[in-house]
Amino acid sequence: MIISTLICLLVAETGSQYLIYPELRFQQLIEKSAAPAYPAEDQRVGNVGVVVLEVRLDRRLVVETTSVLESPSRSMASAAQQAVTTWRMAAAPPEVNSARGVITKLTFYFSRCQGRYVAFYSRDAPTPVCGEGR
Amino acid sequence: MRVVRSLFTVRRLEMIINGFAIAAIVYVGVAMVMRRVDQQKRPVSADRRLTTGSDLKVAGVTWPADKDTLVFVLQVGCKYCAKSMPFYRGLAGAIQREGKLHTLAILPQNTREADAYMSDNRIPIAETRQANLMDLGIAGTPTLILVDNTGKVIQSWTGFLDHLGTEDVLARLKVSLPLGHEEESTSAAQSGSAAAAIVYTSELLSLLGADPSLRIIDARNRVRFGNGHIQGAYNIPAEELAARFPHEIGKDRSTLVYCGYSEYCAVSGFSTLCAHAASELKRINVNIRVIRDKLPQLKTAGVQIAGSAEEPNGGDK
Repeated sequence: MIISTLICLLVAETGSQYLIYPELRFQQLIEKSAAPAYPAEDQRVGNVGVVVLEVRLDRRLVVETTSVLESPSRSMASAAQQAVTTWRMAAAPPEVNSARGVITKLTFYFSRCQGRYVAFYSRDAPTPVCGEGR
Repeated sequence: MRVVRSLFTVRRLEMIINGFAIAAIVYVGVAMVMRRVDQQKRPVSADRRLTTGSDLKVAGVTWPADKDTLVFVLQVGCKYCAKSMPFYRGLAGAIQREGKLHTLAILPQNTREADAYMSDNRIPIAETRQANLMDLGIAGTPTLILVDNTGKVIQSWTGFLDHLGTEDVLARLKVSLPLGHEEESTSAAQSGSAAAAIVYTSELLSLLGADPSLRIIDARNRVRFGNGHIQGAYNIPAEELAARFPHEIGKDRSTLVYCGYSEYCAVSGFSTLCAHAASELKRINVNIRVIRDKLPQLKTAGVQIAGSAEEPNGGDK
């Protein structure tokens, strides 16, 4: 009785953890990404830079929450957060099924490239990112 | 009845003999332990003790004429020798790579035992000798002794060294340990690689003025960077380096990394931010050089610091 209770608690504890995926590892799970829309206000002011989000996904890889770690402006962060919610992920690997979900960081670039303002997710960025960057 | 009595006598005799045998074994054991303790604890008399300026005379050793020698005095079974091994391994590897010093190991054990000990501990030392440590005036193990080309003692360090001790040794010998030296020391020594991973403040100052393409990455977290950083440094937290570095920096630029380097943590084998940053960039085939000194020392040396040079407590993501 005691042992089975302990096993249940252990299983429950293991299942309550989020796996932390480095961004490069998480990129392999992205089936379809969409670029954020470059906010008109930021284009008008000339804001460029990097947005870094911390994203929490459930075990089916559906976005639960996003928080902003770094952003040149609030509107750029919102655009990146909005874009992430439209992404389609591949099937979760088995290790995710036994956890509560996944936490990762995502990097977006808002840059001025050949006279045009462009925004993209890091996986889809030309290397190095064109324009002034940050 | 008689048979029982004789049996009883034999049994008693057997017990007495056993008692004597046990007492003899215990006596011999205690005597051996006492002798060993006595040998280890017997102090070297003051007039024979090796001090700065005295001559270190080891039978059969000729000191190289063109360089100083660093002598590693070790002993099989010595607890603090084992504890000092990560530092000694990195130090001997760095000396071998740079080639500025000759190295010699002295152990009281016979040559075969000593060679096996050195080989088990993977210390790349040029020469190993057996000697009675008390005859040499060496008070304890482990000891590092720096001697000149005539065998005169320049400086010595005895016992397990804390971070100040290790930094003192490295500064005196003008040797820097590469990041992750634990893994690299053997292979780098074998390959003869001379890549220095550490940048001293004097070099940083000259690079800051001379190389306009130089980029300084601050791999600490955002809170620490926000509190204070090297003027012009670019913040990419260590765990984001692999994803962001190729886009934002590019592999063709000369890059230095500030990560609050600690020589003590590095030599003690602790997981450090600098090691994490180096391993993240190694994944994408980028080799970095790490700024050795921390913000307060950099500020004192004349490097421009934006914000405060003091490190705040706590962290972020």
